[in-house]
Amino acid sequence: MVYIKKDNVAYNLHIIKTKKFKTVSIHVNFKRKFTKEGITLRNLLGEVLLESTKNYPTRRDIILEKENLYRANFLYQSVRSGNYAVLEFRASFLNDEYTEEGNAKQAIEFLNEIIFHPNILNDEFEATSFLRSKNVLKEQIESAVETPRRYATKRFLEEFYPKSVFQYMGPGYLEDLEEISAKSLYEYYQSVLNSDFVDVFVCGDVDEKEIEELFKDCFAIKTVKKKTESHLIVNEKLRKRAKIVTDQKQTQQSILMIGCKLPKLTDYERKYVGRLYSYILGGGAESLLFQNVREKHSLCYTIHSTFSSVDHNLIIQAGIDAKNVKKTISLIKKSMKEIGAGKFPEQMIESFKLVNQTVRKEILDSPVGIINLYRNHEYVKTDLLEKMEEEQKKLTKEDVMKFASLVKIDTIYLLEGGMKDEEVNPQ
Amino acid sequence: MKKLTLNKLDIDLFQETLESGLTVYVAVKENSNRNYVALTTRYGSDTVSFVPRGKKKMIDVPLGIAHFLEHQMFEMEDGTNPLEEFSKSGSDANAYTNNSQTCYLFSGVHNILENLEYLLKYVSEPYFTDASVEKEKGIIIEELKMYADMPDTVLFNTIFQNTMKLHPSKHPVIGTIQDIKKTTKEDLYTCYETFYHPSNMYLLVVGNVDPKEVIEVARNSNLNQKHIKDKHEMIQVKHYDEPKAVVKKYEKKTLDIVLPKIAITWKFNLEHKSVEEKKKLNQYLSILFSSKFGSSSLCLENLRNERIISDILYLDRVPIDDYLLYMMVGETKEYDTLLERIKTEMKDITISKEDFERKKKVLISSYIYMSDNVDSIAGYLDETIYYYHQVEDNWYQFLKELTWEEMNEMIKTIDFSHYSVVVLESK
Repeated sequence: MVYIKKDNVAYNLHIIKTKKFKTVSIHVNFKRKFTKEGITLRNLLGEVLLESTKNYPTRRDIILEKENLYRANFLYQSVRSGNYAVLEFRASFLNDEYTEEGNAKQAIEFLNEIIFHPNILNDEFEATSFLRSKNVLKEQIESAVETPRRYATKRFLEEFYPKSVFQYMGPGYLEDLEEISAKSLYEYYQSVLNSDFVDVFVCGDVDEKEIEELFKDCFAIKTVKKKTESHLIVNEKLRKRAKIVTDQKQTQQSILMIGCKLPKLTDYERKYVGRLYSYILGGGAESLLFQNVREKHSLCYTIHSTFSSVDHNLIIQAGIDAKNVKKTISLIKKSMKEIGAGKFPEQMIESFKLVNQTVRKEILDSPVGIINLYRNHEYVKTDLLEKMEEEQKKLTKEDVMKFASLVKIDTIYLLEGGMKDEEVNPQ
Repeated sequence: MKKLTLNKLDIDLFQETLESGLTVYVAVKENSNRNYVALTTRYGSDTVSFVPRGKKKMIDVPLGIAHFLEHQMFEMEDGTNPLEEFSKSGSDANAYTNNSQTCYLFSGVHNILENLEYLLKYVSEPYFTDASVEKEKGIIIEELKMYADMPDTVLFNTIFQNTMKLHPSKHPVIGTIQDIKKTTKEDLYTCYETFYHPSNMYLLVVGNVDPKEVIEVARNSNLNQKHIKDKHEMIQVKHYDEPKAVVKKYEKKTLDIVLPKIAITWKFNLEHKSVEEKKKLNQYLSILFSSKFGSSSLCLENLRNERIISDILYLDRVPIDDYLLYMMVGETKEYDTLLERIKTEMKDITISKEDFERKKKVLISSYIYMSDNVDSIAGYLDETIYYYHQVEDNWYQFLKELTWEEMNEMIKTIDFSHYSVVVLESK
């Protein structure tokens, strides 16, 4: 596997050459500072560009072309990476060896068609396809909180980040959607092409000269280059006392979410120790939460913690019965204290290292894994595989105990469901 | 050891049936770091009436017991937890139960043979106590409630209930709270002794392994050695004279959802078809439904133009013994109109030759995509092993030889008159 990064002034071209796959994968990433309005705009833009293009005016035309290109895949994804919003267009298609000569080139040209040749009439997106995309997104927004878990996550974030933009999440907001017209979205689209930071990732058995030429010819990105800022979110103020919020809803299960904000961490803590801490606390079947809450007290089916090295936070989620809330919270607090006191099997540090050795190897089995590795390296300076291995080896019990002293509960959120066992009827 | 080469893919497949009746399949993918290992028993939630091994009389057991048993297999006499044993080598282990299979699996990079030995050991050592069974009830009930809160669970449970009259697939895999509460240690042992006999199981390994070593480990395993001298015994399970007709042709329920959902499920009886015919019909029906209602269909385009639906129709199929259920799910307020349109479209069950050829190209391409990923390879192999009791080494050729003319002939023999409609209306 060979990695080549080319600075093409307006965009970075990252080429990962490997003969391992029967496919070629391309991700074209646009990023800018994260805002609430941007969530809806960027999702709608993704929908519109995949709904209609200049030469393929209906979604059916686009999908027929995908099928003709031997089931090539084209999709978009809009996500937050710390302070930044990332709109990613993905393409993957089979090598010519498995299709016919010229198929790969055609697929790249089709990706170019999707991103750079939208269906524009009089300086705005064509009305019918624009409305259709708007309806698709409207339905996605409306049903986004249909399950109690997703509803709880949304409400939790509102309480966890009350005055910050990070309380907002995908796929968007109806009040913002209403404001967007075919014209304003087109203006936004042009500003994306002109001012977003752009990174293009290509992974597969490709010729880098050919790829470079192909992109030079067709990728009309005119970004004026400026320095990108850090993606990392710094928590300005930390609470001394946890905030407790309870909502009620007619659901069968209650969802408990606990959020901890972390102070500014060192790079080592952020990249390595935080993940180890979360692994010991709520990473898997060995973890203290799984053992204490599920196995010893039979209080839940799922319980886990996730650490975000970019957002500087740690979030715990459990599905429980409303009557066991107090007991569960006290067991969670007890588990957190145990880590601080070093009361956890040291063997877990070794298994964390081994699990990560596995993860590092498995990354190399998937084009998306490989691209994400280089994307994260570019965006949030995560280490590449060799460095990761070296650094992880150094992790100690003391690192974890010290980290534990930084983890303080900020928000406890409960979505309280009220049904008794007799009332539960999944049919 | 029988060797097959999967045509067009760089995968060799080895197969051997051991003395105990356990069949081992090993697919070698040399360029993979990840390995996937799964031990499956041909026993799932559909089996609730059978003659226990060594007995003569048919008994009934509580619903959901296959799933309960899966949970209890993780109880060990020495108090260890199998999931933890796997994570000691950085591997990831799991298990699942569906209507016809219970599967114990792990994936990883290191210590594959040692882990395989352990897998075959822990699944061969049941250890259930009254206390462990009681403890597990709380966990499983929380799992049930988690699913019961998901609208899709309600939808699919209703579909099966309204489609199948006698066959136990009409019940949810997990059972009901009442069944979970009445399950005993004795029930679990009875099911274990009957269905976890190696002659009712198969082992599938996919990855960069030496097939000889894998088969050697399986041969020396506890699971094989314990049963070498067993007499071959056919398991008698209750046969259901499932009628061709559905139970309820139409049902509407109200639920706390934003957008109504509609599901149309066809019930196809395939009892007089040969294995070869079933294989072909599976493909032809997929081509038919995807051409008629898939994202590149004219019908969907028209439905979107008229704003009857905004996004797509989800298509899925579930084989149940002699039956094949084919389902289509849409989300729309205009579900009555959608239903009428689907009925009208189904009056003509032919498609154009051009559509057929394009869909065939998509099927062949999907087969090649599949071969880049060990989990997808395992999914494909598991399906052919489970349903056809053999591995198809020339699937590529099989797909190539499908013809439009044959499709028209075969589709004509299918009765499309039995279908059931479920609507989930929003409150």
